[in-house]
Amino acid sequence: MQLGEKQLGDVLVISPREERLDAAAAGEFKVQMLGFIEQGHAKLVINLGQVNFMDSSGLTAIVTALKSLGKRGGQLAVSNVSDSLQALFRMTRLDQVFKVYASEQEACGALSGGPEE
Amino acid sequence: MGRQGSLTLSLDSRLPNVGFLGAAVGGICLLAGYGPPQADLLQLAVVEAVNNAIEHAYQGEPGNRVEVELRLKSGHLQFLISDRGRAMADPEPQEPSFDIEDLSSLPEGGLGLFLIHQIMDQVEYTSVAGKNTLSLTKMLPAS
Repeated sequence: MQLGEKQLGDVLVISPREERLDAAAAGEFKVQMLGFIEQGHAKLVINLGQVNFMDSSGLTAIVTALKSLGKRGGQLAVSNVSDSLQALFRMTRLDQVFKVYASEQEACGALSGGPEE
Repeated sequence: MGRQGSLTLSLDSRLPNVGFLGAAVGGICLLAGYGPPQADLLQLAVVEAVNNAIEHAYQGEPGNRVEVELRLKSGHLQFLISDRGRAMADPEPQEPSFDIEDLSSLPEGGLGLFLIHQIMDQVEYTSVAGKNTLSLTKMLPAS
C-alpha cells in the first residue's frame, strides 16, 4: 500500500495514498504501521484524508497499531476522517478510544511535545 | 432509476475483487435515492458480507464464486449475498465488548457481522442444500 510519510517534530504523519482501506489492503497496511513502530516512532498521526472507504479490516489494522504503540508508551491519533469513516468509528464505539482530529496540524499539535502515555 | 428492478453481480473469491463490487453497490445505492453517507454505509454492509464469504466460507481460497443479487422493490432495497462454502457457525452478531481504558481489550477482528446488523433494517441467514445466503434489507429513503 502506498503511504505518504512526513516527520513533523517528534510526530510521524502517515497518509495512505489509496481511496480504500479495506480487507485487500489492511494486511499490508498493518505490517507497514507495525514497521514504523518497530523503528522507534512513538507518536503517529494517520491522516485519512485520501481514504473514502474503510471496512472493519482497515479499522482493526489501526486498532492493532494503537495496541502495539500503547504497549511501548506511545501515542496515535487520526485526522481528516470523512463522515462515513466517522460513522464506522462511532458504530463500533472506537470513537471513544481514538483521538480524532479535524486536521493533520491539529493532531500533530496535540501529540507534539506532550508527555507519552 | 425506477423503483423496481434486480441485478446480480458475481465475483471470484479474491479480496482485491471486492473493491469493484463495493464501488458498484455504492453507486447503485446513490441512484436508488440514498444520500452519500447512507450509500457508503450500505456499501460497507455488503462489503463486510462478501469479505466474510471469502475469508470464512471459502477460507481465503480463490476460484470460488460469491454472488450478490440486488433487488429494488417498492419501499426497500435487498441484497442477497450467496456462497457455496462453509456455513456460518453462529450467524448471531456479537457486540464488541471492550474497556476503553484497556487497550489490550480492543477488538482486532470479528466486527463485520455486528456492523451489518447496525446498518441494515433486516438481516437473515439461511443455509440450504450447500448454498449459504445472507439477506440484507434496507428501507428506501422517503422520496
